[in-house]
Amino acid sequence: MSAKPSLQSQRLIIIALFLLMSVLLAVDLLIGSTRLEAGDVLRSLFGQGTPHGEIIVMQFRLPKALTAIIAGAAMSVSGLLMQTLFRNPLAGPDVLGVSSGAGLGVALTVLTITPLFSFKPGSPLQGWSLILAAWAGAGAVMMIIMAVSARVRDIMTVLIVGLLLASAISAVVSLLQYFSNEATLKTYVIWTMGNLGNMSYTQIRTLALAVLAGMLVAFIMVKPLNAMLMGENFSRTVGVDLKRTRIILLASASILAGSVTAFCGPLAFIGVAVPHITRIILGTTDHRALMPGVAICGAVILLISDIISTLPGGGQIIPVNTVTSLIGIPVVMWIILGRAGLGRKF
Amino acid sequence: MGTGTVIAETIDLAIGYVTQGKSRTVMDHLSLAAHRGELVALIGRNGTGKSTLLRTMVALQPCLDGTVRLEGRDLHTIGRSGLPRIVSFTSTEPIALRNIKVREVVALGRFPYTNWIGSLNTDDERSVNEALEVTGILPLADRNIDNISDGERQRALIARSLAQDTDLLVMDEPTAFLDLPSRYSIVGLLRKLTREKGKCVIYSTHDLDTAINEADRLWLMTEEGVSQGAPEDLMISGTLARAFESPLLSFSQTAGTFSFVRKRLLPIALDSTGVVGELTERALRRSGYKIMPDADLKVMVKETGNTTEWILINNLQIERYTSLYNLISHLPAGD
Amino acid sequence: MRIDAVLLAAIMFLASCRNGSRPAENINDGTITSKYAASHFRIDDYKGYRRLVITNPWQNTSGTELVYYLVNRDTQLPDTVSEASVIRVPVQRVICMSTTHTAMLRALDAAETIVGISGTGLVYDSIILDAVNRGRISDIGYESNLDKELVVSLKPDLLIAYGVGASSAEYLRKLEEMGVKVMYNADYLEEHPLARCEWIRVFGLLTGKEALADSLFREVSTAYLSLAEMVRANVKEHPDVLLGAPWEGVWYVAPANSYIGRLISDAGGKYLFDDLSETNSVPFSVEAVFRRATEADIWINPGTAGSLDDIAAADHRMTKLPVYKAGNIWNNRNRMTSSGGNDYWESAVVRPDLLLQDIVCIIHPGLIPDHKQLYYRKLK
Repeated sequence: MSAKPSLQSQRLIIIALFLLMSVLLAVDLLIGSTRLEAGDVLRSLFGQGTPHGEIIVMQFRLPKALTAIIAGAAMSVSGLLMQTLFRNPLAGPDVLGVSSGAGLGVALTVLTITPLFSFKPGSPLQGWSLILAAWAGAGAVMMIIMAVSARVRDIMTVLIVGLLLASAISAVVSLLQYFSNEATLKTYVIWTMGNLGNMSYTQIRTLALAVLAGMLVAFIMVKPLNAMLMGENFSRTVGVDLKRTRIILLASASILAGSVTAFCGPLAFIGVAVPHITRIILGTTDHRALMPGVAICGAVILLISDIISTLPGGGQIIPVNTVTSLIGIPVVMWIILGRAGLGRKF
Repeated sequence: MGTGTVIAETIDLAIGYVTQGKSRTVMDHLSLAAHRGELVALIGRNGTGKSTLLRTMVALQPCLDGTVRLEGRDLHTIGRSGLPRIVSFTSTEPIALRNIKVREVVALGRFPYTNWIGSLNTDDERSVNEALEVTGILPLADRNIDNISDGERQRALIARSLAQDTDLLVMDEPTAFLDLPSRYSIVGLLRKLTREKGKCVIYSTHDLDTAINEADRLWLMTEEGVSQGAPEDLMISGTLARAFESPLLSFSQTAGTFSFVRKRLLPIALDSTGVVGELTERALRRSGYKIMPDADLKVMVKETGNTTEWILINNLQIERYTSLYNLISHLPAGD
Repeated sequence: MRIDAVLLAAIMFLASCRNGSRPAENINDGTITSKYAASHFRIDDYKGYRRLVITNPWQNTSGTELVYYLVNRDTQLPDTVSEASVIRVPVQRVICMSTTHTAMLRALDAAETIVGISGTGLVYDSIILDAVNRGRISDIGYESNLDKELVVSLKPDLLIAYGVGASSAEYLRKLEEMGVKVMYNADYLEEHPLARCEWIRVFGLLTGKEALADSLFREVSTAYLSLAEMVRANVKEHPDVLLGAPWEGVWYVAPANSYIGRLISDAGGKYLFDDLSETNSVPFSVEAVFRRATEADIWINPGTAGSLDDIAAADHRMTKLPVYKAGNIWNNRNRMTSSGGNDYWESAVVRPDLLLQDIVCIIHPGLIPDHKQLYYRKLK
């Protein structure tokens, strides 16, 4: 099998992906329900466009595209960490129950009479009540998961606890939905469909900071992650502090996934599918290449999803989760059915 | 030939498990030793605790009592970062990976020495190449780990241990799931490591043949404890036989092998020499016969040139056969 | 639809034999054109009883007809009519699944017939709230969450249902099996405010206050239509009106033929999306709506926003709209209780003329001198 890329070609592929991301960014800026000519778009980026063009590009399309890049990278890296930590190709950020926790925070804000956080009118945090509630929910779940992980030896137990927690939270949210009326129910359901386009620049900055923190931690863990590919016994005898490594990985993955979910709603399938797509493209399981590769690939895929979700034309949109599911589910199916079966092989 | 200084020893060690705060001792009062340049085979029946012993010696499981000393230092004092430079451990954990090259697997053995991201410097590369060469898999270095044979994969794991540059290598069942030739070649490789590289290799196995024939020292684990010594020592003392014998199996001291116990043996006389004679004796024994010079039934082996003939004399009847198979099939059936 | 046409023809043919009353006929000497008529009900007069036919009482259906026979308490049932479809009038114990129904009963001074409501917490009317607090009216819960035992124990003469979809009819069927009489109200599906208001005539029949209902409806239609006519005659400009609000990147835009769309056009405004001919709200991206929104002069019904900050909090880009900067935003939150009850859903349905006045004054201030906003409030 000589067809596998070497380190040199891996670098080239990552550069190519980066270029692809830039192209897609441009495409995302150019398409939308309002027809803008390319020149106007370009000039608007530098503050020289028509007033209308500037608002559309700078207030609508650019924030959406930037959010797609940040969120796509963050969710994918989170998924990669989960897949290596749990040695399970189907793991993703949602196995921790972090996105369910965010959903609970939002449900408690939207579906109940007294929201979790409410701010006085005029307070600078007014648009943040939903985001803070989601963050709080995700954070609470993260704390529980880390506490369990510190106490328990077998990583599979942590996985099961995460899944059970997610189910329990789902049940509570269903209950809240059952007792609510049509209008609030619809608002909650719309949140669950994911939304990249509602971010102010302050919010984007905040998300970027959180994601940066999570990614830095993830990058530092590249070496132990590679060791973990060889199994827990090997990792421990070669000097990895498994307990500490686990907690750091869980924290990093939770921060990444929790932050994105708090700002954008739950984004489906990106975390599971992108690491696999990247492994195929790069032809390696080495996290030194995978980490940046997965991040860029995630940005690419979410940009593509965003472009597709605005395609129907005439102004109507498809929820972004529908598109990511349509992309992600075939990938997951292909993992399960193809290439020598599931077999826990990456 | 081994017998360098002691590199690993257990002193009154108790091994077992700790679950939910309660400890369960599997075996205690273990005092064992292994020396530099020595090939030590840990054998014993299933479930006696071979894995537990090895894992305790590399700090994967806690010592319930007593101590483990590696290179003269107590296990507790060595610490997490020091341990990988003293001992390397290979277990039967399967590698669930597809897209990783043999070279990358071996390179992970350099984990204790590489920088924060895991890049290899020239020393590291040299260790990796050496390891690949010694284990004979250098030509496979750029192949995928799941694209080579089981035996070759085992060699890769051993190479990884080697790359870790420790004087002590501990391996849990390195020959498991391998076919016979592979088993022999792996044990041969281990022996080579002790002879040519001065390593001490402690490995557990179910494969008695290779252990008895190749190891310098046996650690024989039974329900009562662990006996150590040269294979022949344990045979002389009868410990080996006792450990494995059962109503069905008996151990032959001289042959160093086990054979099934036959309940009822028919007497037969044999007149033969040389290799063919030995093999004829073997076939007869397998068929439930005991060699008795004064038996009524007699077999004579006649070798003329390239052909061999077996002559069966039953009282006054004489029959000739051209193969052992034919001879045996015409004998009255033994056990 | 064909059955309807045949029946219609039959009725017209037999109009001389029976005193058939088609909706919006014989009222006000024909100044009401049938385009404002309620299309979801029709009343046929028979000797000694009335036949009420309700058509398509839930969304996404056509050709569905429900027939009820309204028979006086002391009258004997004719042989041709089965007991199951009979409602004995006047009703004395009524359960309402919508506060619009309670408002209609209230307008007819028949509030004492109410024994149960879905969601007593969201009632605006103080008389009804008083009855709730005194324990005379019970909360029966919403839709499939209905407390069936409570409903049965209240021994209602009639349960007036508010059916969102055919599937929600399941739990109502259960109640019918238990002997509760259910009537499906389709007023919320009427597209024009007057058509919706006309359902008060159905309530008139149910409560035996036909004459009151008819005269009320006559008054309201006259007031409404003359106001609309006045606007049409005197107004030269039609300001652009924006409706709804964005949420999480989606803006559900109401079609031109919606209730509020009609009010706007009758009030002399131009709805920004009057080219939208869908039957239901369409989910647009905020970017798509934004373009047109920049042309809005007035913004009405921005979701649940009660202040300009609320709008900014939901989507900060709205602050860039000229209509936001001018602060010309109005929401129907002027008559609300602290627990969320809103008179917009109650008396405004019965008095669309007052509602129209409010909207006229929003779109063309000063056209009606000395008008005080009733249902609408400008956002600050």
